[in-house]
Amino acid sequence: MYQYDRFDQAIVDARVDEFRDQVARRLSGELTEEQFRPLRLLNGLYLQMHAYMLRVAIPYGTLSSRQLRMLGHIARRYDRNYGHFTTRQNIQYNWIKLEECADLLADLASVEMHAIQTSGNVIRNITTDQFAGAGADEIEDPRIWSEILRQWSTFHPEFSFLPRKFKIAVNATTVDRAAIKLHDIGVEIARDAHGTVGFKVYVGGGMGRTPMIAPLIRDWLPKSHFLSYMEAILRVYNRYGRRDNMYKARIKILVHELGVEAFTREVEAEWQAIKDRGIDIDAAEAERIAAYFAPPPFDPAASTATPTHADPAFGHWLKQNVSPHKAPGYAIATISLKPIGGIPGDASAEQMEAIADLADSYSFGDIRVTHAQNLVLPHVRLIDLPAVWEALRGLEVADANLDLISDIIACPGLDYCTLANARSIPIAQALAERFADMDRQRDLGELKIKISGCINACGHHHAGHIGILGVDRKGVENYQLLLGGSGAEDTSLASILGPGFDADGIINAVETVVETYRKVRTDGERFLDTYRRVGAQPFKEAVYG
Amino acid sequence: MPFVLKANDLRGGAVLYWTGSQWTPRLADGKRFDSEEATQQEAARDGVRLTVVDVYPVAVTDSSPASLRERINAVGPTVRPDLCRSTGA
Repeated sequence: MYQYDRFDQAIVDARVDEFRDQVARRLSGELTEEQFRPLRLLNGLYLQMHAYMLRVAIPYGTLSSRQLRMLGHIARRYDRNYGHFTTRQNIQYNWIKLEECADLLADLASVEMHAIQTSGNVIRNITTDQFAGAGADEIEDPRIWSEILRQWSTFHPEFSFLPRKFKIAVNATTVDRAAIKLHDIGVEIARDAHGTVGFKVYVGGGMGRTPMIAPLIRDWLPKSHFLSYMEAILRVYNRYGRRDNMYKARIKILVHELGVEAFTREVEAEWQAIKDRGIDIDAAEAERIAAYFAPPPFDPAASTATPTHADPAFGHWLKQNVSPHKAPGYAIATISLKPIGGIPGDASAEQMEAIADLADSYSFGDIRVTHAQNLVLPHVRLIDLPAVWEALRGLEVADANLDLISDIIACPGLDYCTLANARSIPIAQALAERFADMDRQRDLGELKIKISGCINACGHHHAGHIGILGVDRKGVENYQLLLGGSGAEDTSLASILGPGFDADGIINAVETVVETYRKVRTDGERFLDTYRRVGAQPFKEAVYG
Repeated sequence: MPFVLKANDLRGGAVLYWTGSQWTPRLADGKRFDSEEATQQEAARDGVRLTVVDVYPVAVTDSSPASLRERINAVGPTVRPDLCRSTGA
């Protein structure tokens, strides 16, 4: 993985020192809250329901074991012994003390991590496929270009005060595990007819209060002009994006209002003007970055035999949570942070440290965070999978429910978030408990439920096969039911089925939807495909009569 | 409906209530005001805001805030009862 050079480390260390001074000045009264608030937000520090919340960047969701161990240490030393992995592949701590925050950031900096650009109207953490560098279907490791984007976008002076926050995702297979069309920019690494690797560029997707699927604005971009094209997009957005209304300030609104063709023309014209000004990196620099992501020393003699275990639960986990690896004899193991009745995405300090140890023993010290709030051991020998599974079971993170109905995405909701209108986590817990029977889950097959506690859609409800949006109805939590969304390569936006429900009612409504699916599905048909085939009406009739 | 004055501790971020002379984590010890306006007037007094942030009035019933948001604020996340605190009621 990428390792800081002396410039990276100096920048991050200097930022810690600067923030330590800013905190001291705030605590002494030299800075008012109005003066200090934007400074703390620049360092990812929010004030939430119960305390300060720190959002730590995990670039493209990649962690070393040393870093994950440090995240566990931070949970124990500075928080209440846990952290929350987010849909941005980041981690949030919910109980941070301002007076300890500089020490926390110094600890983070000691393992090449920080919280810079996890807030504010800047380019946020670059996200990508959690199977990067491991997936059997991968064209090229997307972390290379994600890292190039990270370096380009960090402290980019021209893009420090954008009209609104800006999110970029990179994917490198035809299977979209990064939801690229639901980002401000989605980059798809692809091959042309001659086998040359380049990019397809999507712009103007997003969720939030105005969900949109990003249109393709360039079907082929050579590697040699990657950064200049990104810069051209950002320059057009920075120039024309609305700053008078924060609800209309995202680039998706600009693309929509200008029209795709006009927006693309603006980008292309800007690109022509800047593409030869030395913004792009040369092949040697790209190779230098790529070297950081060289494959680990796989064992060429690793057994390719399917692993077995006396406990049939292992077989279920193997089938559901283990994915094909590009190296013979290896596999990708997804660690579920969705135990039945648990809080989606939460991990204790002990779990983080133990998973870091497992990564050292079985996955070259490499861990990934998924946008679905799970963790991944990306490089596990097939022969080691039984031992890994046993260890995960001991940590209570071996649920064989990847992409099943209990693998629910949920934002922190009203239990933690000042923006939320309703609680998300209790709904996720109640649904997981309602469908706790694993045979029932497996029978239902792939079924992605995503829950947001407000219209900002951090829980990706627009992209849920079943989406749930919590709203406030005259002081009472109310939950809207949406069907038919997808964040995968078949991207679609979910539609509201009808009137909302109370907390009990939404659980019953979801069960009714699911049972309706069971009645009308054809053999092997996923929920999403059934919905697309039969439409909303059978579900509407079943739920509302 | 009576109001209390609520804030977060500047240093630690914890939810606090104004007793009339100091900040306390115990909602039960929070001074009751007759109106939102009276609460805001209290918030504007010299010294009240020195050690806290995000100061605003909260409507309360006899023993707890009227809104779900403020009840969660007062007690803690409903999904982590082990981390919740007593309001002192």
